[in-house]
Amino acid sequence: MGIQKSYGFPRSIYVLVIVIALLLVPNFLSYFYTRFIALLLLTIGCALAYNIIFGFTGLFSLGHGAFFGLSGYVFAICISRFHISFEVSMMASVLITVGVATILGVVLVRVRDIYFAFLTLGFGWLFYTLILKLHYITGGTDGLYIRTPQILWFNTTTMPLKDLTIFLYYFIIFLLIIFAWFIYRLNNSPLGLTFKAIRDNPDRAEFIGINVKKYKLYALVISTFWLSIMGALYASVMGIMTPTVLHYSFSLELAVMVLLGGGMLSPLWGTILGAGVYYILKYYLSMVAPAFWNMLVGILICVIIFGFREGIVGRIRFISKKEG
Amino acid sequence: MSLLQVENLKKYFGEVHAVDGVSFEISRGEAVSLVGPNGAGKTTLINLLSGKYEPDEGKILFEGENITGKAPYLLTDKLSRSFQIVSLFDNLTTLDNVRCGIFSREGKSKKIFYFIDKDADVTKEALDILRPVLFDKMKISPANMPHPFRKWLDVCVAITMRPKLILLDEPTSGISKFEKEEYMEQLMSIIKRQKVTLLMVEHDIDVVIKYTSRVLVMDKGKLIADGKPNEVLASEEVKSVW
Repeated sequence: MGIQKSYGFPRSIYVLVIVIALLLVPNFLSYFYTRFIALLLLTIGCALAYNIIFGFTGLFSLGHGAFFGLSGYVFAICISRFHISFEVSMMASVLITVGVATILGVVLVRVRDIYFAFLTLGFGWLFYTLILKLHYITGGTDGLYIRTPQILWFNTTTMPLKDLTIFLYYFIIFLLIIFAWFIYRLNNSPLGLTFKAIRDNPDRAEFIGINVKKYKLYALVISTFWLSIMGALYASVMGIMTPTVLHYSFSLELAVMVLLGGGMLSPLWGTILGAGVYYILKYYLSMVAPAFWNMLVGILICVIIFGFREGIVGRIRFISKKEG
Repeated sequence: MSLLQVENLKKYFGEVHAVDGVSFEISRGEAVSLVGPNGAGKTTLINLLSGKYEPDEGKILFEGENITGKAPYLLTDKLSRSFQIVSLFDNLTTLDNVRCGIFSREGKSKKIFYFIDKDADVTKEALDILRPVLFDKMKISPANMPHPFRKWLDVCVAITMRPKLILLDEPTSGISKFEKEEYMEQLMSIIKRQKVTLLMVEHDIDVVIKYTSRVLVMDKGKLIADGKPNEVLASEEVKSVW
């Protein structure tokens, strides 16, 4: 029954056009822009993953940057220090990141709202400092360079950097299409509905038979699973991992992207839009006004947020209503 | 065997003896009201029964099974409840408020690759529950509805659990005199149809007399009277407190 308007993929023809346009990018645009769009797509992936915990389940995490960075570092260490192949390194980084998230999650799901935010901030800071201080493994502030990996059966180690980036670009598009489809299905599924119920009113959710802690853990695991894939891909596109991505400011940026696009109302398109707009704006503002770009981004966020009904203000009211 | 058996239940909040040694039984099919002055411990008692609070002392038996201190989500097939202050999923549609409960009851909450809208049975059941009162409000969110509709939806969400015992915390509070009767008629017809045992906290004496066959009176955390509404409410002790 078409009672509820389902979000996402309403006009499959547009999706097709976008995908074809993205596939043609390396043929028409320079290497620089291919890499730029690859990183843009990864940012969108991160925002979509973040939205599972933030927009769906209503948990404000400040530790997702740390999970992202952790995955990237595990990947980089596997490739560069242990000379493990691309796919095995990727699996290792996903497994370790999701494992860590699950262990921490057992503690994290016991708290809510502002306490959840601060606990994730605490764990995130811990990882940030660890990566920074264990410089004999991670390279510390210098970062960790990543050797050109051997990807599946392809002869990537001898490829020029340009071709490798294009290769990774297609791989990212492939994964992101799967991820977008996953979000679309989640948004229309009972699990997605259950997450949203927990977001709106965790107390009542308990009284309709939902084990809130267990479902929060599911959300965290699903979210970090996709985030860790993005982390490993980010490491391979960048060719270097630096500790800055583990900083909580990256988690905050993800939250801003979701809010900017209205990821709570429209988990798929809202988040894609928010992340895309934010990334492009940040890039161009940093070129136009290198000294002031942070300030300009800040002002812009304020303006856009105050213009939307579901902005930060609505969010705080929403959270404080749950508290009260 | 009685459906619900409460033995010497106690809950203290510091100096306040919210529920102080309450014992009673409810048989299957009964409609019982719980009355008393403000602060008598009625809502605390409901919170204890539904698993929101853990009692300091005493036992709660449901069909002979000890359910004392069990988490609310484990109890919903036995007893479910509505709230004095309406508690809903305000950013979901009215329909999804109910459907979320049905999916949970049927153990389908975990499904990812499963379209909500394609499950015609669940949607039909939700529509059947909502139709009598909220037929034109399926697609709006309850945040934008007037209070009586929100109150009704709160009860609907509790009913979707198909419990054996339903605990309604002041189902008619905030509903005008003129709407109350129709509202209660709708409510009682669903309760009778589903053969649910009812325990409700109520302040309106007319509702108590008309719709329930037994009344429990609480004051200062203690149960002071138990019996037929007309007799109990006429006694001097009850009159002095309520």
